[in-house]
Amino acid sequence: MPHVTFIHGIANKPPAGALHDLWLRGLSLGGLNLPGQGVTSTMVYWADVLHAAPRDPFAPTDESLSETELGEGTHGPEIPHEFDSAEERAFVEGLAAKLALADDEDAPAFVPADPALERIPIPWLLKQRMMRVLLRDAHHYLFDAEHEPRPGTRYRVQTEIRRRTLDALQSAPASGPHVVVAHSLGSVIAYDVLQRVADAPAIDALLTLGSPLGIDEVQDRLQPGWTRADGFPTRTVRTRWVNVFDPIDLVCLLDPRLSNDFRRDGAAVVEDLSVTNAGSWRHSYEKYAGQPALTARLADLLRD
Amino acid sequence: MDTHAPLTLDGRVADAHVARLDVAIEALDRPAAYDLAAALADAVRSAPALHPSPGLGPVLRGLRRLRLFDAMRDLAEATIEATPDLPEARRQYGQALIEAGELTAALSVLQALAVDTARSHPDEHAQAQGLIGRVHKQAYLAAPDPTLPRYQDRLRQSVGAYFGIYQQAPQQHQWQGVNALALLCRANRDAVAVEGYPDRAALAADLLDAALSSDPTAPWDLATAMEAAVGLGDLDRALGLAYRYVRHPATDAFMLAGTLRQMIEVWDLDRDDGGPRQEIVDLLRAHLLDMERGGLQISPAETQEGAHAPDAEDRRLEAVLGRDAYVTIEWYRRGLTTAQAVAKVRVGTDPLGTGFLMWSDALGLPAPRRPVLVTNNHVLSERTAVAHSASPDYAEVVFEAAPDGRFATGVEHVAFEDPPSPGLDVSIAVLHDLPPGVEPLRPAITVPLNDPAAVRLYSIGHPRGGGLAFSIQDNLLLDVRAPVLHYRTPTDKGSSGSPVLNHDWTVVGIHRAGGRLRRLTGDGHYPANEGVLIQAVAGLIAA
Repeated sequence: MPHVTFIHGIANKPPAGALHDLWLRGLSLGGLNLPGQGVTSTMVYWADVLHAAPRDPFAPTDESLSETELGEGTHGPEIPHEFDSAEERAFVEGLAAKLALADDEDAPAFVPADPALERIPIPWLLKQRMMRVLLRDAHHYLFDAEHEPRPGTRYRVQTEIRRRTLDALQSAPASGPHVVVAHSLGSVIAYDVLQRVADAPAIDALLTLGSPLGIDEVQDRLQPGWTRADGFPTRTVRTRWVNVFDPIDLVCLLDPRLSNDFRRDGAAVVEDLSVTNAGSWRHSYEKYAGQPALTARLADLLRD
Repeated sequence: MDTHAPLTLDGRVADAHVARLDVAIEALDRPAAYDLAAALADAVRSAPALHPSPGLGPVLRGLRRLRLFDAMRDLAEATIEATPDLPEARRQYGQALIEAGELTAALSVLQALAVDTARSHPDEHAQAQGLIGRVHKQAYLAAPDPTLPRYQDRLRQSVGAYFGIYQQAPQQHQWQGVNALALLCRANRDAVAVEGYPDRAALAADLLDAALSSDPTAPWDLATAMEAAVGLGDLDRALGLAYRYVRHPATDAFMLAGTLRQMIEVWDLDRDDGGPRQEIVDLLRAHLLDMERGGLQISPAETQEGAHAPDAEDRRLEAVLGRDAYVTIEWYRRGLTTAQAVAKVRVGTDPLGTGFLMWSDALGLPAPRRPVLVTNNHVLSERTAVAHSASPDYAEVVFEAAPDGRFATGVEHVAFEDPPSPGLDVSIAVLHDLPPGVEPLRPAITVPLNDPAAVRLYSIGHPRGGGLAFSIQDNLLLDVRAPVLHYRTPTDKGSSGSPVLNHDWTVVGIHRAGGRLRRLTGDGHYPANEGVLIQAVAGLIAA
């Protein structure tokens, strides 16, 4: 039986069951109804590792979703400012600089790394908040930060999420293609586990959407394991890795393409697929999942 | 279920039978309902005497709800023979005659019923008058030349029949009232003089108010309000009401089909002007198909138009109605695009079956990669021994809904074939030419075996004798045992070689047979259709 393991991305989410349904529904809108095709699926849910309580699943699912999801007041989460190592400081400061983050709310408008791109049509404040969420969540995962989302519940963020991911990968049915579909920071989690955790089982294919894996600071934190010339997870990804991006999705904007950064024996093998999501908020999972080009590729991966 | 047990009407056996029929109707199990109704009609015919049974009225209404008009007519006829004074049986008989297009016979039955019930059964009288209005309406709409005075008279008679009943009790007879409105508007468009009725806008406003003041709101109220809004020219409001109507939990396939017919035939809304007119029709069509065991007949022109709906219009619809309505219509339009890859296979004017395009490599055929036609071996074969099949030399393959218009071609050669018995009954042919702009169908990932009851399948084919129309049918998956699958379809036995598709419009199988088939699991037979799994075909080719 073909099987999909989903891994969600940054920011707070609805409860696990509701999020899983939303993800299935998102693909269905793009023309791929996984249950109707006989494909089973599970969701690696980790929003509770960083957040006190799930987001209201009945909140409106329009553009304002982005704001409710990001939450945390108008300014977004605090940028980490106490560091255990020089490396940690370099990561946070380097990424904050790259994302043009500043504590000053009157900071100038964000300018994309590629000047050929138009200015991103989202209010500056919202961009700031999103970048802060990305920075905070990526930091907590990549530095295995200790976090207490609810009084009395403490996690080592990376340790806990790795454990959950490994459980999901190991419990997939043995027969039929197994594809991991990971969005946003979920793609970093997928890569980290598949390439850097010794017990990780092999899967058939990897599909990443709106991935920040192209960012240098993120790649630096995936060593040992990652090198530019041979970073493809050859042991655990049997066939293909397809990476879908929107060129002006804020999260993958800095370096949306992965084929040049995750080579196999020097060869570019990751398939980068560019799509154009509607509206100003380009990072949402629903918009990626509703792309017929993406669902067609996923169906191909599940047929192999 | 054994539907052929002896049946007598003088006791519990008949009650149990009617109860089983009720269950089949509730489950929308059309084949079972059909068989049970036929057995009930036989029993009624052979009963020495029939006391008016309170169970028969609901059964007739249930058969109507499932649009099983043949079964309804048969049972009503048997009932009338046994107890001529049962008004509902006579009315449903008249209704079935209308559905069969036998308008003159229907008019005789309904006129006699109207006279007989004028004093004793006012409700039945009103219903009979409404159906008389419907007979005249159909006669006008079907007229080869509607400018002939005798057809224009039918239009006037229709308005008269509907309006007369409406006028007696407007609040109770809104259905008749809104039909009168629709026909008055139609008469105005067709420049047919109809005198002596109130102003159309005033009538529409009255009907809209009355329909929306009902509490609770029934599906008919919403359908009436929608028509009244169309009559007022407020198409956005009509679209919103249409959406509430299709989403109402009590709306069934019979109602939707009737409303759709009214919107197309009387209101003339089915024109591709890209506005709310077309959207109302597409919304009704999409939900009729999406409804459990619904089915549609669509002309090639409608298929082309729907499949090419512009994005801007889709977004407008999403803005007016929200995401959910947009999703159903998007899905429906993808189905229309799928129909473009479906072709009729024929010799001369003799239709043999249906076929569809797929990519050769998706079926495991060797290079070159190219679109190929998939159909049954009993439709197309190079072997003369296969009964009823056409030779490639004589077969014509016609894509009725190709984007640039009807496209006919021939068969170059048969690349693979497996006989009907024993075998998978499949032929794969390379065609001389391919219709431009048609995307071959993709295979399903797999068939869900865990929970067949939750799976819905769609077949697209050219029904026998169905002219140019496509039939898109919703099926219930019954059972799967490689290499075949069984499913049930609402109206007919399907067309040989039709694609059997899942909800994503990807190919699960090829339809090859229908009727009373041996069960795949357990003993006995059941009414079912049989298809061959596309994966089994690919497996055979690879072997």
